[in-house]
Amino acid sequence: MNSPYTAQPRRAFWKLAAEGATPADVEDLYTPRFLLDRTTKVATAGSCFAQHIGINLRRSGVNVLDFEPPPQGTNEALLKAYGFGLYSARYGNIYHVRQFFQLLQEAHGEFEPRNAIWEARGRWFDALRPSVEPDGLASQDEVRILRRSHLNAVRRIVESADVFIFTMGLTEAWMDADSDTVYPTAPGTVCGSYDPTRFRFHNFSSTELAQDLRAALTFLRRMNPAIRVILTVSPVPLTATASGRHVVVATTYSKSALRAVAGEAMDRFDFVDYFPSFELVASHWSKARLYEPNLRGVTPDGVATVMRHFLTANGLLGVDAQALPGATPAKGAHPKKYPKGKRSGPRDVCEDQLLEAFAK
Amino acid sequence: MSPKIAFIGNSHLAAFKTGWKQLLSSERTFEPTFFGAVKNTLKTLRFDDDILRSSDPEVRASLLRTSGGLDAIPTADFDFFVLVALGLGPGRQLRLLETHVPLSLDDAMPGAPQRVSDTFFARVITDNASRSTAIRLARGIHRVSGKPVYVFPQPMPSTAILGDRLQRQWSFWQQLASPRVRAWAREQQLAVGAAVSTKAIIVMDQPAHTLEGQLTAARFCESSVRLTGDLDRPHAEDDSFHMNAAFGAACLADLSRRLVTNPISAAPA
Repeated sequence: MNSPYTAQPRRAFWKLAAEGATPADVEDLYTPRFLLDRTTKVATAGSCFAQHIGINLRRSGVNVLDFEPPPQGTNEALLKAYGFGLYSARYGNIYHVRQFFQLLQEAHGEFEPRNAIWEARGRWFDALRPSVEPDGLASQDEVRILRRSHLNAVRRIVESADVFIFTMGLTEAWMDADSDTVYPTAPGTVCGSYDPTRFRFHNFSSTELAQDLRAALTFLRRMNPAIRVILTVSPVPLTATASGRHVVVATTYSKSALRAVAGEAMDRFDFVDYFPSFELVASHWSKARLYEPNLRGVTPDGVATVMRHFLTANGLLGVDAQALPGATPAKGAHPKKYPKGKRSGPRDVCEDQLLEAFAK
Repeated sequence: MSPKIAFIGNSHLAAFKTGWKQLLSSERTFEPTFFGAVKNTLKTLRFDDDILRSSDPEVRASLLRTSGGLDAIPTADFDFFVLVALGLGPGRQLRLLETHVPLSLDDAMPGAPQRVSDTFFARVITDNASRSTAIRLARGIHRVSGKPVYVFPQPMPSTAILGDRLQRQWSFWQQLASPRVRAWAREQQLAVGAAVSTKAIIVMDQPAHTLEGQLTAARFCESSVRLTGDLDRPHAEDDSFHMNAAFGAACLADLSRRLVTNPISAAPA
């Protein structure tokens, strides 16, 4: 008998490749569609988990772009509190595909967010990135000025990046009721106040996600025809759901939908790759080894395991940031030195996590 | 009996040590001992009981030479402490403007690489000052000895920097010469000084008459000498950052007046 499975490689079989393997020692989990090297200009964005990717790539000597770099010699905790050094610009966490697409469009003058400046404690906040100015700003004008400057940085990222790594986090979103502007977090979490006449909840369907993702990817290629994209799905469960369902059920929906559209995008576009950080951490096969006891946070070892797989697959494991002769980052896009911090377990800056405060 | 003061500083201490000789006898109201080492090597000082020591032999040698016989600082032997520069200085704070400009200066410094909020800028310069060797050492000295500490930040560079277009930071310092930026810088300086000062740690202002606008008058920079050797090696001609004996004397005179008019008693350690 002739079987189509006869020619399948070892990794196609659960018994050979998964049974008995652990996240630390599983082989051949990821074969990059395209390789990064130390000269590749990499941009990062996404949900809280994505912070680990950018930070660890940078520490490993990868040329991670940063067009809003931090002041040299500044305390790392202070920088993180103001959104520096987490991603390629100070956009804060980008949880949703539509949020990402809207940011790209806005940076290129093709979208205008509405109701995007919120107030709290007499100060003003950029509702699309409320975590980057924890003390708020003195006026709405200041919010606008800094946002314009920020959007310039986003534009430069899109123009300059060779590879954009985007980590998708959530399907549940809060939006402006009139304009469908997507916010990273519900009003009343960091700033602003919830008014059901002005804001609405929306749980993106897989169809919508797929459409938004296709649109975002197409848009990126339109702006930068050579750009490639690596998609990942955050393995971090929802802190809270507004869907009316149990949070476990809601989480499963979110992650399933995001994982599905990531796979579909990879199949559709040859410039898109998918890195299985989600599978390494969250699949039943990994037995929650990489989660904290609350089964929500990812342990430092977990982050290290994920990054090890990524770097090994790209031939970058062991590359020392100080031993990179010839690396030429884009001008102004890569500071000479980042503040040194602990190698494991930096705390994420995470609005989603703040929702836990509402648990009673 | 004159109070005994330990002066602890980096290369900028040379101005104070040479300035002592220029001080009027009426202003010599204290007995100084100078403990100096160049660059940021004094960050290696650690307390061994109440004695400040360095594990770095070069630092110990420098302390021995500058003090005239002591390779460590016995804090119990002094009534006050004066720290000189050691990473604290308005110039250092303002250098942040080369890369990050707060919104309140947005129109005064066009072409800024990156705009940031005023709050962030203030927090950065205050945090940087707080983590400077000067302030960390000041807090440690006061904690161990209970004695007051005066801190002289690094002076502003001299106006000579504006005359040398080849100076790497020429255009930057030109911008700082504007009255608007000058006023803002003064505000920041006062705010940072207030933030890191306590009742027993006093950040001193640069003597007003040494300033010309925002920068130090050029005459206070001429013929400045290095801390190394016998204080007889001049700095390079284009060094606009190290000041001379006249500058040091001006600071010491201010200190002397301060000790008389607004003395701070030692607190129990």
